[in-house]
Amino acid sequence: MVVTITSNNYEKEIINHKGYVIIDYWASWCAPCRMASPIFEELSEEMKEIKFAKLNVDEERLIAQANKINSIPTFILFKNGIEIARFLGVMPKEVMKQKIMEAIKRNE
Amino acid sequence: MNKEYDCLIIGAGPAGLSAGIYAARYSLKTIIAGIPLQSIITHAWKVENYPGFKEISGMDLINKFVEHVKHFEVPIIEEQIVNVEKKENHFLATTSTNKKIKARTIILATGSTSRKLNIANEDDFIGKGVSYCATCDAMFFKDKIVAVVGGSDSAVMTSMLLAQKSKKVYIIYRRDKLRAKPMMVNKVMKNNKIEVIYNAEVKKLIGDDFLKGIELSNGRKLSVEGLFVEIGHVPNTIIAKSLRVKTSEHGFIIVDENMRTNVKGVYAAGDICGSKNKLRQVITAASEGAIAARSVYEDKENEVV
Ligand SMILES: Cc1cc2nc3c(=O)[nH]c(=O)nc-3n(C[C@H](O)[C@H](O)[C@H](O)COP(=O)(O)OP(=O)(O)OC[C@H]3O[C@@H](n4cnc5c(N)ncnc54)[C@H](O)[C@@H]3O)c2cc1C
Repeated sequence: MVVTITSNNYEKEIINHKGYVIIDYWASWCAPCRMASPIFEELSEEMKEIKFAKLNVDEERLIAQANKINSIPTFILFKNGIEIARFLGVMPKEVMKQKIMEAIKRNE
Repeated sequence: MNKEYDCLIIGAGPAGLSAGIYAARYSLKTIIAGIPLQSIITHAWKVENYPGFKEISGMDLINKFVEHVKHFEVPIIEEQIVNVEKKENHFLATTSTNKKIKARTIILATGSTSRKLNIANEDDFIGKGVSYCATCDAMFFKDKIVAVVGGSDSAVMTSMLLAQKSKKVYIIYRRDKLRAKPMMVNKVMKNNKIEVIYNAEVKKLIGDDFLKGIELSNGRKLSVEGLFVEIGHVPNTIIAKSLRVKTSEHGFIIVDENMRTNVKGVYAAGDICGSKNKLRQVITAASEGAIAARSVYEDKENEVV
């Protein structure tokens, strides 16, 4: 499952979340985002220990700006509300999984 | 893998997908390998010159092509082709997940990729300030200072797009005169947000994590958070070269008027082939894909392949 983030729940779901959460920053007009989103969805089913979230950069510009999004798709991994890693662009599922796991290991 | 196709189309942009439609109509056993959403047309925010559609985004247009191909039940395998071997009377292609595809003929429709600056740290700043697609990334540079590299129509168009939202736009060009159409150059000159810096190239990218500035060949340093590279495209000819398909001095595949290359059983269509100044658009790519499919059909009928 992937939670939709808006300015109403950003604090609760991301900043105050204890543990890991990863956000997919996307927009409807972005072709690579469309390729990435089913992969992200599948990963959310496989990596239950992490919370998966997505944020539409058109609707939530301020959050996107605050997170210094310069290109989409961007994925940011947070631990206890603090960014610990950021991945850019579409990648195969296994590659993304590995990157997430490596980032978690580095920050254990 | 035992199945042998009449035709493997490599590339799923307008050229490859159109070739797929025509090949299906010629009852050729056809398969397409490539990722439609990676077609460069997805960089086009709005396409206003493809007949039948007054206005459509590049992404929606390519999805329409895919729908059409699926209607004719031509399989699309959404993977890269990493290798093609020429056997005695067929070709053997390998996909990125090591699937094998056997085919009597190949249509190369792999398009082109944005040319990079080729300077240190460029890759580290991709998505962190450096961009090759203004349509994709311009919105993230609202109220920021940005630069565009290049002097062509597309560089000038990019600078106009950016000037709508950004605080200031530099155009950095290595010559002393922009080569875009005069009408567009006039617009640039009248836009007080745009400043053109001539006779200069980007030498260095500055910043820790995100881009903060650039250094030019004339020594000048600019504070910019975004750098849009618009210096043309390079044809994707790795596979063509491995098959000894001839390319021109500008790197494009050389084809005859029916899209045949110098290698028997290998055809090409779209942005990847033809002369340097050929019109490179969706309509020409689609048309060449159609012609290539007919050539495959004719060569099969005449037992040339
Ligand atoms: C910003 C921008 C705006 C544009 N606007 C317009 C417009 O308004 N109107 C218009 O008509 N044209 C426009 N164009 C031009 C148009 O996009 C191209 O002419 C057209 O897409 C060319 O089609 P193609 O099929 O030859 O190549 P592409 O569309 O680039 O497709 C190439 C395909 O090959 C695939 N591929 C590459 N290598 C491999 C491999 N090894 N294995 C498998 N697949 C591979 C790619 O993933 C892709 O699917 C624009 C271009 C740009 C950059």
